[in-house]
Amino acid sequence: MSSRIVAMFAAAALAPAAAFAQETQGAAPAVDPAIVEGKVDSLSEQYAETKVDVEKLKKLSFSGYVQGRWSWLENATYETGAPARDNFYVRRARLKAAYSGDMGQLVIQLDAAPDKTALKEGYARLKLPSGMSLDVGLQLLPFGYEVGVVSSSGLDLLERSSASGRWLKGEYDVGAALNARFGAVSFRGGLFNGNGVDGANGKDNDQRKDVIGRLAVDLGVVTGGLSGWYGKVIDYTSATNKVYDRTRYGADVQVFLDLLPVGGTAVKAEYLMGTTAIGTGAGGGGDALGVKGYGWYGTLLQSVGLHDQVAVRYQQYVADKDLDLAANPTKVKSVNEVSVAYHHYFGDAIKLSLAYYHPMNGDKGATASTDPKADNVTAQLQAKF
Amino acid sequence: MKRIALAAAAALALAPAAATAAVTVKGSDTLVILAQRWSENYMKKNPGKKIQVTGGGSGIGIAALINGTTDIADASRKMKSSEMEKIRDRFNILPVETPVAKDGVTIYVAESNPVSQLTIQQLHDIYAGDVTNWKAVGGPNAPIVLYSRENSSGTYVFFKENVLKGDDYAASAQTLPGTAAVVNAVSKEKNGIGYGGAAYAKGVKEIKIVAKDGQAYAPTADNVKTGKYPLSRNLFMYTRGKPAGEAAAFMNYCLSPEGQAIVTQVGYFPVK
Repeated sequence: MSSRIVAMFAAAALAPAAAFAQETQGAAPAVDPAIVEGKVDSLSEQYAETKVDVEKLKKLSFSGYVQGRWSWLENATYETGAPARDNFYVRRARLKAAYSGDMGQLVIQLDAAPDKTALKEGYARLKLPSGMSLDVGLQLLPFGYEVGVVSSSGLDLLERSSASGRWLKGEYDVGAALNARFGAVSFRGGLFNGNGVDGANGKDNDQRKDVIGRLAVDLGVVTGGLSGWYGKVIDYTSATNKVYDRTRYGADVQVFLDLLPVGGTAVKAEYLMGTTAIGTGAGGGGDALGVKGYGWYGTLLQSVGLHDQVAVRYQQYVADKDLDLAANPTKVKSVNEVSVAYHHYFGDAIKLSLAYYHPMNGDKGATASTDPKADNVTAQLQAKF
Repeated sequence: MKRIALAAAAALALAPAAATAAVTVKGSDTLVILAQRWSENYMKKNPGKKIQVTGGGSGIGIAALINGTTDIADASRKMKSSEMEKIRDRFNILPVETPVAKDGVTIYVAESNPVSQLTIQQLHDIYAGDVTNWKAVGGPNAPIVLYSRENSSGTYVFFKENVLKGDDYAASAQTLPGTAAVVNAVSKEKNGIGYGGAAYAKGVKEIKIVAKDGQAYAPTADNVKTGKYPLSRNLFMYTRGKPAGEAAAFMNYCLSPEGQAIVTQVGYFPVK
């Protein structure tokens, strides 16, 4: 590119001289080589300056995506408040800026929604020897595959599984994490507040920090990881300020196969169990203090040609594994869901997706319904750069 | 109504296939002459088959493989893990690497330049801007004029990794849009130095490179094949998954005895 710019400059500078030479063809040479040489030197100098400026600009990069959606939710009721996922809405409108220096990087990501603009990422990265780095600030939780690895713009079923939604709510948290890679093995983990970006406005209510991390392996055809989270939550709303565990354990595996002539096939599975959800309010009361649950999913993905992809997922989600259904006959212990999505890519920036979700009640109390009547159809157009 | 909808769906599904009947090959400028020769000969032998070859650099070819706009990416460097991950994430499949020729990244100087060999360290110092006069490496007392490639070039990346050991190129290095341009510039600049594929070294002098055993090796067929030449490398074709259909047929031709004979004719070295 830069050489083309110089060539253009040179052509522009030399064109009058060439035209003049043509007009005086046959006459004595009209172009003084010293003048041409001076012009070339001048252009070379300008080029060198431009090159320095361009090198500086190359350190700054922008990326982002917008997801415009229409959703239909079975049995949606508006009398008690508008459902969050029904009709037209903007799921994400993200803009990310990163500036890379010799010793580090700064990253800022904003999520703009009709009612607010929020900071989703804001961290400083210090580059360390051996390719390691330290990130300090608001960043992605280093846990699991759906949250720790996959961007919201690349979700196979448009939404993460219910287990991730509960125990990794908000997906981002404030803390300090170390990144390291040794061949096929990588690690990301550190100390975090543990409340997530949504809980207590991202702030912690006590001095106890949570240890969160994921150890991953990438063997090409097979990738996977083990994740752990250990922390504590103080219930300031109780007279005794009781302390509860906030723990999660996760395992994930992804297999990529070249089986069919129509395109690649991927099988992905993840299991997550947790104690105490991420708090939704200030003060550290938290959510479902001490309550244990788990969830898992298995997804089959099939590419069809260069532009199409189909995904099918089955998931199970148990919010409280100790729920006594005999004592709570109206409650549901486990929710199973089958969902299917179709994606069509227009070039490399635009993706049209259509998804259908069918949740079903599994273990339930005697009087609870089998069908939660919460089927959902979603159409989404995503633009990404 | 249903039949009309089915017919429309079938037409939509088949339209892209018809439009992409030609096999597209994009990428490395080092490989472009060789790929064009392969394509011309293949199409002569297989009338009706169409192979479209374009250059631009290894990075451009790999980017095209990632965004689905080429069937084969030519590359004079290995694909980065981040690039492989992008293909895997987008197409649920791993890229497959096929070495199709061998090359020795050749250091060119003007034919009048008395310097005949350099160590990797000397090359590093020259291209990092630490050595700026030929006198420091046994040449005349004259400034060294550096020619380099654009950063989309696989040769640029290979040279940066293997000679500069990751350090930056000197700011004074002039980037040119192809190996032919580098050779042309060096042939006209008596104090110039450049690098590129062995097949392009016409009208310039090739520099021998001192290996770890202390011997200086020229980028000859034997030295490149045996790996004695320190800047030996493979040239690759990358596909999304195992090569299939017309792309596989073309690649089989490139690796056939006839295809590998063309490698030698063009100035590179066969892998078989």
